[in-house]
Amino acid sequence: MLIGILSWIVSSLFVFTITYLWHRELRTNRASLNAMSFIFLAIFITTLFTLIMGLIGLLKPEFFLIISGLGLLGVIILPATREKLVAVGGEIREFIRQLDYGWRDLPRWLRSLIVIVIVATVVRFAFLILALPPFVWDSLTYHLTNVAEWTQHGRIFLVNASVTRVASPSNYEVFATWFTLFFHHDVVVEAAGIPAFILAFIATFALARILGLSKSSASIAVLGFGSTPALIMATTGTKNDPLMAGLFIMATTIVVNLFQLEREDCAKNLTGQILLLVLVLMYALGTKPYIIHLIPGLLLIAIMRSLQKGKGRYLIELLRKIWMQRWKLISAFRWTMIVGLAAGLLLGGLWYIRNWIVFENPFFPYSIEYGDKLIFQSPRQSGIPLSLERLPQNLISFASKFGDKQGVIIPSLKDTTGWGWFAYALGLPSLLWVFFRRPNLRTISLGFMTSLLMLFISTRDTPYNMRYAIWVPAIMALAFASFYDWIPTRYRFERYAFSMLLVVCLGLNFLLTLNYNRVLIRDFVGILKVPIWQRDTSKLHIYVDPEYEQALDVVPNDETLGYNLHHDAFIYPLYRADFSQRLVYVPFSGDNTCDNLVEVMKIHGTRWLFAIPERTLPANLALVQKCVEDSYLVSLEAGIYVLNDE
Amino acid sequence: MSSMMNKWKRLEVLFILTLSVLSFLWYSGTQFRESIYFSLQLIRFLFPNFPDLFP
Repeated sequence: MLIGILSWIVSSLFVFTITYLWHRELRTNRASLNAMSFIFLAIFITTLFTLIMGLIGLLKPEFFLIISGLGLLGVIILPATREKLVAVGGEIREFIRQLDYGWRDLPRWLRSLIVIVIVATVVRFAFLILALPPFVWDSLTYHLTNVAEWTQHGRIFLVNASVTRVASPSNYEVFATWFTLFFHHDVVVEAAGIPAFILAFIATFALARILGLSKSSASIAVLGFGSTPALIMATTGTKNDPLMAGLFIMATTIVVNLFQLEREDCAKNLTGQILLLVLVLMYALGTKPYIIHLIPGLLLIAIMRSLQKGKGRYLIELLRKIWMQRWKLISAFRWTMIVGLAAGLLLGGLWYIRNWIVFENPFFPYSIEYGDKLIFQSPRQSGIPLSLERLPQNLISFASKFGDKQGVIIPSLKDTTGWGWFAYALGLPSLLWVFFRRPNLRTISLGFMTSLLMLFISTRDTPYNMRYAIWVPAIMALAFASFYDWIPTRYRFERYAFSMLLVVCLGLNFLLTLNYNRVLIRDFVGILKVPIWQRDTSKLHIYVDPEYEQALDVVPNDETLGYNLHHDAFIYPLYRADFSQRLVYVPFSGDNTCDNLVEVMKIHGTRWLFAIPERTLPANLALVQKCVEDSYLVSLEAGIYVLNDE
Repeated sequence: MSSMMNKWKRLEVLFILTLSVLSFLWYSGTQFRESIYFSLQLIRFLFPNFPDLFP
């Protein structure tokens, strides 16, 4: 434990040092943009560091301690980096001074509201992270299955599991591994979404400031978007969608900023922004392929901004300047560019290249269809068609989810949008206003709508697909902030009414997300009675069947547990919270004989088999039952079988 | 002219305010109960005599 804590501290210091050094090369003259890019680079470098260590099989706290310690020593000894690090103290002081200056600019009521929201958010996040083990569906099937395997084995590899989605692009899972590897435990793994949450709201703030909104209004936009139930629930739900939301809003912010550049902005500044944009998009591609669907919206924003009077002129001038100074810039940016682009290619391309080599389909486990043609084939998951076929169904489905009328909002967003009180009550009417009154925001709104439409063109029409669109409320928050900014201060009643409505909406959003609308009080009480280090996911029976807990009571954790579960069943609960249970997928089908089954179990090095109704295919389960009747296997508890050695 | 502009501006603000209140009420239709349900459960857990508002 001690080495884990020490390693985490030293490794975090190392990551922040590298982030600081790299960030110096890419910053602009806007504080909010710099804060946004710092958070992004910290996430990017943490993922890169974990990935490289994982690929070379050094995913253990002691190796991180050694490498990070040596790395820190290196940057302190090297004159070029030491010189830059000397300035850190002064820059932190300057940052705090600017923060304090900005803080004093805000009205007292808003400052009080921000303090209350920050305290409430921190307490809620801390409680949900520490009190509950992970329990969200997708996390238990594939996100955390990767994290558990990698943490357990100390290396990153393609996991052989019944759930083929473990082969999906996994930048988020690599990042989440940072939160498990030092303690070899999942106690804080749900905190992996918090940096993404911070990135999402800082990017919203930066976008508001670039659009010329006051600090007060930009803060209101952050409060509004930051309270979105879909975002909040996914943040501590170990899902990768908050990261995608943060990255998409950041990409939008950079694109908008490119057309806001002033004549005095230097070419180096613009080159840095373009490089950042590339890194953001590459990172997003390695997190979830749906960034491809969102890019047309960004392009539309870029085109419309360039057509607005004067907006594109400076950009063209700067691009010309970049071309004129290309050799000088390449020389100045040499290492930033080489290392940055190589890292971007690795994080953005690795998963696709691996899948192409292994499965002959870069988008595995999804097939890609164009009309009647199958471009990439996949045996299990349904395909992603490049056609307008799915658009009408998805639009009808969206209409039914709009307004969250179909039920309670849960992390998987079943039949709801999860946009919450603020977005619907204040965001929507303001968005309407923006369309007539604010061309700047209208452009971005149209871009967001285009991205949403592109998602609807190819995403499957499922009750859960609105989780890909949790970035939408950001534009509503910006719209309200813009509208609020526009109301003259002399309209006291109106401003007061909107402020009150804002407070009520934030309060209701908070109450809505106190838990995940899935956990009953008795479940909370039950899990809180379990010591924190023993809070296994298998003990929280929200989705997870009781057989998982029973199996772990029977199977010793020094033996490998085999399982045969279907392609959308929970695997993660079987690892235990401290990842002490080794697992192996035992593939067989109902057509096999009992001799085949026993042989497959022996080949995979296990004498245990976990197979339960609902989570195992009926034909496979029937074979297992037959093998019990024929005395090949012994049934111990419901769902857990052992080879009959007699 | 300025007074007229002012009047229109105020109407515009009031229009959006009305829309916001209506939108709030529309959203309350389903989500109000869902939003406070857990809090009420929590209060009833801590204070068992508290009335069950959504039996």
